[in-house]
Amino acid sequence: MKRLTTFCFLSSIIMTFTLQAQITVVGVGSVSTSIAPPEHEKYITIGGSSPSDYKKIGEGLYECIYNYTVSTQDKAGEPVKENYTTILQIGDNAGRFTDYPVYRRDSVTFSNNPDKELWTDLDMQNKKTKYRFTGDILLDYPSGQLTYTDIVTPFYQEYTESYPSIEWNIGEERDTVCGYLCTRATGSYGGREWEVWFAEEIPSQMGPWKFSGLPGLIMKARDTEGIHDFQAISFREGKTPIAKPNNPLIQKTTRDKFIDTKNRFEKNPFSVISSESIKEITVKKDEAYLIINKVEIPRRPNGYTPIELQ
Amino acid sequence: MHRLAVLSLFAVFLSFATFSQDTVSGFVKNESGEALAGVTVKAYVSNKIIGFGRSDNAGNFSFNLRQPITDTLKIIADKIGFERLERIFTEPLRSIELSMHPTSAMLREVTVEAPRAKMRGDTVSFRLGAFTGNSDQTLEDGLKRLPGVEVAESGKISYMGKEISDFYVENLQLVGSRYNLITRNMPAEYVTDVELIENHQAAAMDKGRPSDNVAMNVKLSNKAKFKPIGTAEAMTGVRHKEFLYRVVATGMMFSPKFQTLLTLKGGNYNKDIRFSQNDLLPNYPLLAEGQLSGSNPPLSSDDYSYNRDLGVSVNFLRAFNSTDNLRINIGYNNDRKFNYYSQNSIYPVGDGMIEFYEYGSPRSESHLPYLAVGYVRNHPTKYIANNFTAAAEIKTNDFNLVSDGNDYRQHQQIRSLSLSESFSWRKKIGTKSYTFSTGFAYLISPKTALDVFSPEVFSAIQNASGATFKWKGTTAFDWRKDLSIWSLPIDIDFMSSRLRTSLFSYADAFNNAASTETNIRVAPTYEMVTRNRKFSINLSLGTGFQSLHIRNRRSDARSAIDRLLFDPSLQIVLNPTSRFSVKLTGSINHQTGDILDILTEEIMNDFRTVSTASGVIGTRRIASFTLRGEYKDAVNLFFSDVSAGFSRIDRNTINALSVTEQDVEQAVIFFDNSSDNFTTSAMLSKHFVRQGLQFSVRGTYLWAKGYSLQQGELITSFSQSYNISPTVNVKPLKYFEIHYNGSIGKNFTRFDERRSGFFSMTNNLKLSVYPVSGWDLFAESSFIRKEITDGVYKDFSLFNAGVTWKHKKFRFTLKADNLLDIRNYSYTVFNGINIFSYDFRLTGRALTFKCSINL
Repeated sequence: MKRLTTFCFLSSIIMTFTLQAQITVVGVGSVSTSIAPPEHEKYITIGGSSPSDYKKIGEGLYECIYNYTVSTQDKAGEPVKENYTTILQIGDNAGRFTDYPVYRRDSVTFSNNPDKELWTDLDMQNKKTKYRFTGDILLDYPSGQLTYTDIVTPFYQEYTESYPSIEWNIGEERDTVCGYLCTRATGSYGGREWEVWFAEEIPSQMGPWKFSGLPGLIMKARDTEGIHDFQAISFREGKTPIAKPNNPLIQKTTRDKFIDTKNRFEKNPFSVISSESIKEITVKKDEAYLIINKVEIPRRPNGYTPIELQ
Repeated sequence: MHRLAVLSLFAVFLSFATFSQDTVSGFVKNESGEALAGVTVKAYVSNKIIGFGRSDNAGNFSFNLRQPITDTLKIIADKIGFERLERIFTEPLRSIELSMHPTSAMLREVTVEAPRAKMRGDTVSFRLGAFTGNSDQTLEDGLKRLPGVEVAESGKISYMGKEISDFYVENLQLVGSRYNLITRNMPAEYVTDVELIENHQAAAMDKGRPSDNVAMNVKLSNKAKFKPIGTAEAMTGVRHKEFLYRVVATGMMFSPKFQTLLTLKGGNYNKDIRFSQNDLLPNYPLLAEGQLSGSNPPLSSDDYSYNRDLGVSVNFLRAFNSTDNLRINIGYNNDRKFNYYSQNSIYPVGDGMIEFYEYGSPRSESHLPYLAVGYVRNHPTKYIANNFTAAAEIKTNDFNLVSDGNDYRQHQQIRSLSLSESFSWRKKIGTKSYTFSTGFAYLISPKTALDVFSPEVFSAIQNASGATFKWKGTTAFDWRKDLSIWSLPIDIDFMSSRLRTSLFSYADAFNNAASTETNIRVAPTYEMVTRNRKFSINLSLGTGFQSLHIRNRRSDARSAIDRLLFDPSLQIVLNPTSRFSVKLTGSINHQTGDILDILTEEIMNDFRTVSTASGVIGTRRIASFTLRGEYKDAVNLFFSDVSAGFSRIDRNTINALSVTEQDVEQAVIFFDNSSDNFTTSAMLSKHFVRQGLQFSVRGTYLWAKGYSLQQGELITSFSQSYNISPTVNVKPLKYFEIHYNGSIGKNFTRFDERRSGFFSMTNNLKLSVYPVSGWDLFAESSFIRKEITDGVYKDFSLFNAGVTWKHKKFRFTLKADNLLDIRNYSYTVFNGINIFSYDFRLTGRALTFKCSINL
């Protein structure tokens, strides 16, 4: 009966979604049409809109922006490249790697008295972002560990693992990446073989995504199949604090459980969303996506290409 | 066993002899002796890293070494905010203690610039900001800087020598063919990328099939998206006691679901203003043509003509989803022109010549309202399009002149109206696709009245009116199998026209013509593209039946043609590499005359010219072959193309010209003849980024052979022309920029043992100096040299100068045009046999002040 209820309920959501109506669903089974409240117009991120929504864990000394490219296929089977812009904040003892629009929003939050117009402009700019990197990674936080948070609607799931956790083989090849002389290293992680280039001149053992543990900042990383590719495009002084969002929707889990749940979720979101967990649903008419309990279901126009297989 | 033990001992000895150590450990502290966490400690031998570690919260570190130490050991400790610490060790270490000192030195900030140009498949993407200069204001200014892109005076854009077929902003087509509404109004600073898409298919369901079309897509920066933007300009000035003014306002909005462009312009001086009167008007067929003025000099219209124009356009596009959109374009243009010129016409007659001289002042005014509504559903498996257009033109020409001491007054009124509707439905099901389309057009064109009057000498009234109805239907079936596509399109079209003319002069002449035409065409086509797209072929065997019947009730002349036609075409494309392509095309097609061929009674074109038709339906068979090669290296900003083409046109009629001391008679006479044309063209474009040099050049060579009748004699004429057009932009210093474009050419003709050659050269030079940020001091010079007769040259130069100050969103420009107040411009046009020399009176020096703002 419970399954039947869930099925009927989710079917109605999908139908609603297909009809592209803008509807707010309050509570299970009750449907009412309304104009979306202003906060639904905001770009949905794990962060908040006030410094009190975060736990500050350090100052951002430097920042490295990476172009993250995923080579995949669209629904017609044509090759397509998904381009994401991501950022690594490097602090004294900890770092944070996240989607650039998320960082941009956080940096406005920490700026002095951001006005309403700035928020509106920012949300407008962020909303046009086609591909969004949903992971949020705190490097060396807590000390010696890495904290990974990602969307599994209607929650954010978080786990920790050891930092650094990759065994690297340092080679002798040299190349220039983003203006810095880099050395090649290889290693395996998450079921993929990786080739990275690190800059000894930058004394940080961090890098994009979870990559870390080399004697210099990792400027470029690419898996040997050529599917995932991170490339540094800017290295600059940092001005925004490194902070951990205090989102009450964050649930703790383990890495193994997360990978299993995440991969199932991205394949079919409703396979992991229980009807009891749903308090509010917003169907965005224009952008054609769903927000459940203020956590959106990530838009994947070309499907999901997992970075971690194991 | 004994040997093994010895070897082991030797190995142990050797390891001690080198540096018997496999781990390094220690402690890192700061100046105060406090433990430092997160310090990267690296061990090097011969500058090769053999181990590294990181200090923990207590400042301790320990790591293994990956190879024995054969030399001195270098330890380097690094931490952000601290000076790098280097220590050299020549002896084995037990535990080392490192003390680091803070530093205020910062690491280098680096930002990788996006590449200026990227090439992906058939698309080349230019980052516009990397090409524009300080003085470039509009998107069109920026486009002129892109390698391989050429922008004509009218605003038409070509890429690699091919005119673009579609213009998109953020993948939506707001303004159709009038894209210069956008290119001349959109500030360049709002554009991030310009994409040129070759093999463009307007229908998504045709994606992947080769085509000859090139499209341009403009990508906007975030500040130009989602919210309304606009530009406004106001100009005032003076030109020889004449007050000059101009106002231009533009509002735009580009969001994923909605685009709009509203423009309003008006004024009497157009030079250097964003909105040119040469807007790309929609291509409505058979709209009013003809103007009682012979020629236009190669100058800006405002240099020789007194203009006044008013224009408004309203454009909306609503995208309902990613595939469906509705577009509405409404506009109205009103142009007035007035100038003074004299003309000397020389026609060879026997061993002598007949010469006419006249001078006068043509004045014209036109009104052009138009409406276009288009709906398109562009889905990967379905394409539906419906377009409706309505346009009208009312034009008045007045040309009063003096010829042979007599005054002539000419007044001409032309009114035309066109209505057209087309619908297209296409569906792709698996490997098959189906097409059905239909459309009609109704044209009332032209309705002309020409009144020529000269006191005591001459008087004539010429009237004309006509209407045409066209209907066209197409059905097609395409079948894809592996790499091949088989197509079977069937076209049927029907056209009915009538045309009446009446000439009241010394001898009255009347035409009352009607025509009906039916064409049925079947064009089985085979198309194949290899999987790697290195080879493609398209073979079409167009076969059809044509029936054209024309009749002039007034003269009772009739002519009819009922025939089968075979119009094959072949295209082969080779792409040996992603940068290099070769294309070979060949085709034969037939063209047939129209209702104008049966106008056997005289029609007056102007006070001196009357024309008559042969009464025979003109036919033309055109055989053409073209070989074209392209090389594009977007990364290195090098673009080139070279092409050669030959065409032969076989006709059954010939143009005949008969000149007397009083007038010129044009006629079309039944006479089989042919003409040959050979054309070659080559283009090179290269940007040297470090040197700040942008260079492009196009060269063309034409050879032609043709026949004409003049004074009853058959004349075989040969002509050749060479032309080279370089464009150079160089910025040797940050505050100094030179821009040059020019054209140098020579035309040769030969007929009846007469040979002649005319040289022409145009040079435009602009120097800009940017002394401080926001200021632009510029000087422009145009130098034109034309050969009037053998060895006799006429030189002409114009000089403009001005200053621009840019402050935030405002831009103020003070400019003097034609600073030297040159008042005459003469040039000669040679059509192979006859010579026409013109002398235009220029409008003189103009001083203007312009203020523009980006809203």
